Amino acid sequence: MKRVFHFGLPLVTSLLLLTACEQKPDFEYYYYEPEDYALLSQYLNLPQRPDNYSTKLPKHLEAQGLFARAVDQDKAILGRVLFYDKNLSKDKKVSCASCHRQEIAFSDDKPVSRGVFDRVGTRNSIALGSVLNFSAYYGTDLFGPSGIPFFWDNRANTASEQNLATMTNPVEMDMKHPEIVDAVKAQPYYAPLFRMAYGDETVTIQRISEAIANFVNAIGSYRSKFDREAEKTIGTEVWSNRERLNFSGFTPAENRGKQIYLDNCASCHSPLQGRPMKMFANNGLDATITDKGVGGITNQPAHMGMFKVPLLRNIALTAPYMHDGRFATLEEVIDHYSTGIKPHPNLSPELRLGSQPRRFNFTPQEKSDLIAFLHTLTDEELLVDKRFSNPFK
Amino acid sequence: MRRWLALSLPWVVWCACNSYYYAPNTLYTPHLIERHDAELGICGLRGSDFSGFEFHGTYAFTNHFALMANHLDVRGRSPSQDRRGNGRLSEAALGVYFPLRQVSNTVFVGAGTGQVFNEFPKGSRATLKFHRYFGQYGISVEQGALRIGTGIRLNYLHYREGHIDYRVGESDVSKIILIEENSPFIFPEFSVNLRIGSRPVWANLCSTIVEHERAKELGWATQTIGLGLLLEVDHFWRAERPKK
Ligand code: HEC
Ligand code: HEC
Repeated sequence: MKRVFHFGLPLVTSLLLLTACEQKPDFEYYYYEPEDYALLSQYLNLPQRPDNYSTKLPKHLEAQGLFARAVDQDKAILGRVLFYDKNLSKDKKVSCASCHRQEIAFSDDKPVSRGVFDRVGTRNSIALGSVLNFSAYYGTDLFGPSGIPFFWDNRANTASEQNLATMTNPVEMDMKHPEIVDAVKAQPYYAPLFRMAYGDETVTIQRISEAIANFVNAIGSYRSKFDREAEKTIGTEVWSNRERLNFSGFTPAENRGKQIYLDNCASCHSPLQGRPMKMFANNGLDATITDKGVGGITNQPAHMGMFKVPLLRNIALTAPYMHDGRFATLEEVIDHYSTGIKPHPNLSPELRLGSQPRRFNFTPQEKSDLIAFLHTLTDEELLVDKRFSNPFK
Repeated sequence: MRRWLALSLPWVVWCACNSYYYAPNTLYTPHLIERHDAELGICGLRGSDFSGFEFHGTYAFTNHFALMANHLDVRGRSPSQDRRGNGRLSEAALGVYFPLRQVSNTVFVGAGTGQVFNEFPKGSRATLKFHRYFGQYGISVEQGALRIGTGIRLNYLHYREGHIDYRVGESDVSKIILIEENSPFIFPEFSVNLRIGSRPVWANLCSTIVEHERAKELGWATQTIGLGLLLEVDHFWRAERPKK
């Protein structure tokens, strides 16, 4: 028995000593090969630790069946560079970001966008702050069409289809597919990025557009004051009434504005800003239309003058408004709904009484309450989110 | 005997829906009574999402002292998700034993080294290497054709090296960062060993559980079950164990 202690004690002690000699963990994390990173760093500010583009939507959006689509991280990183790369345009002065500026929720402050050689388009740029929200619902995803989601006239089914249309559009970037591929091949920083995303350096138009689609699909707004308040109500009330509750973190004006919004606007623009209740509608902008909208694509008389119903997320930042940017301020938009709705055969039932356009006749108080509410839809974090910022030096 | 063999084969291919960064080997409680007692065990092992095998050996080289060696090899794979992983642990220990009639008390202290490796789509990998020191107390009781053992093991687990491709994904990277920040870990494990048979061959069923409150966050497997054979190899050079 004694021997046991004679041997045992030194054994335990030496074990303790051994553990004491252990060094701190030496963990090495890597993504880019060092020589790749050195090359990339000559042109780009990309973090050594890759950005994470996956999103967990807050509970009130998940409760409506909205789930962020899985985004391929490596393709999104490549997509970010492509999105900001002016080499992809004819005059090398225009990138996606020229008309979709992060600081204004990926919209453009001009009524109609200006593309290469200052050519003027016919439509107002759409803020991309909600692509994630759209893709989550409509399946405007990377995996194939299952809705009619992109553009004012809903003419592109998927984000890939959309971005190819833009790159080739003469008033936007004006490049043929082979020209885009060549422009990408010509830049030294793309070889490593393609390798990370696709395993090899082959540049194809499909890969380019898929990578951009991954990036664009990751852009989403879900961190606004409205979202924070709406999330708090989860579990406190039945589903259908949740948005009716006054939000404790809202000012009285914001809460009043919310009620006005729910009574008059939510039937199209969505009560919880999850997804639009209609894909497209006519909201009475013109008695005689000049832009056929969805009708121009489908050629159906019942679709003439109808346009995508946008989500109103970040709306305070994305002036001017409507498909042609006709309204410079939210006040003008609300005046339109208040007293300016024009008759049109396709005018949406929500905006008419019988055959006559509806007159909401908002009081000045109601107008300012509504505007106060619309300001709560701004996702400030998106505007400074580094993952979506310009990576070029 | 045949039937036991069949039972002991590693069974069912398993879905690796999770990746693990630690899996316990069986906390093995040998039944040592006297000098030259020697046990050799081979065991098919299974945890959630992985399976593997392990070897155990103990040898009583004096009347109170014994040596132990363990080796564990586990694998997980998920063809649908393009993921696979494996883990290894080898260790040696020195111990003392006190027989009390049909009861064998054993205490071992040991050290070992191991590694876990997980591979994800696009060939991205995370490999962690660790040392493990342990002290264990086990008790094994024999009653007819039955031996029941139970034990507690105190581990000092230290991850000393890691090579991690960020592309393994956010959820794994966060597990690994947590491991890096918190290593070393000191925690207990418990086991039950059930043996049926008679000298020199026993069928062996054992279960080991890990007790650590953050095991899930750390990506640890918290339980393994093993089924195997245990041979008292001393039988082959000693016809009869002398009666005590
Ligand atoms: C010249 C300005 C301009 C450039 C450059 C541009 N866009 Fe656009 N973008 C627009 C306009 C204008 C619209 C709305 C067009 C329409 O609906 O007809 C739009 C619409 C979109 C939409 C649809 C959003 C929705 O909710 O329906 C997406 C997505 C988009 N652009 C992404 C991109 C990407 C990706 C690029 C770069 C490949 C890009 N844009 C380059 C002006 C531009
Ligand atoms: C019938 C459905 C419908 C209703 C009800 C409705 N809208 Fe709209 N809204 C639309 C459509 C469709 C558009 C896009 C029209 C276009 O650009 O041609 C739009 C555009 C807007 C825009 C401009 C969006 C942008 O990105 O340019 C704002 C702001 C807006 N609506 C606010 C409101 C408010 C506030 C209410 C309630 C008073 C309201 N809407 C009620 C259908 C509706």
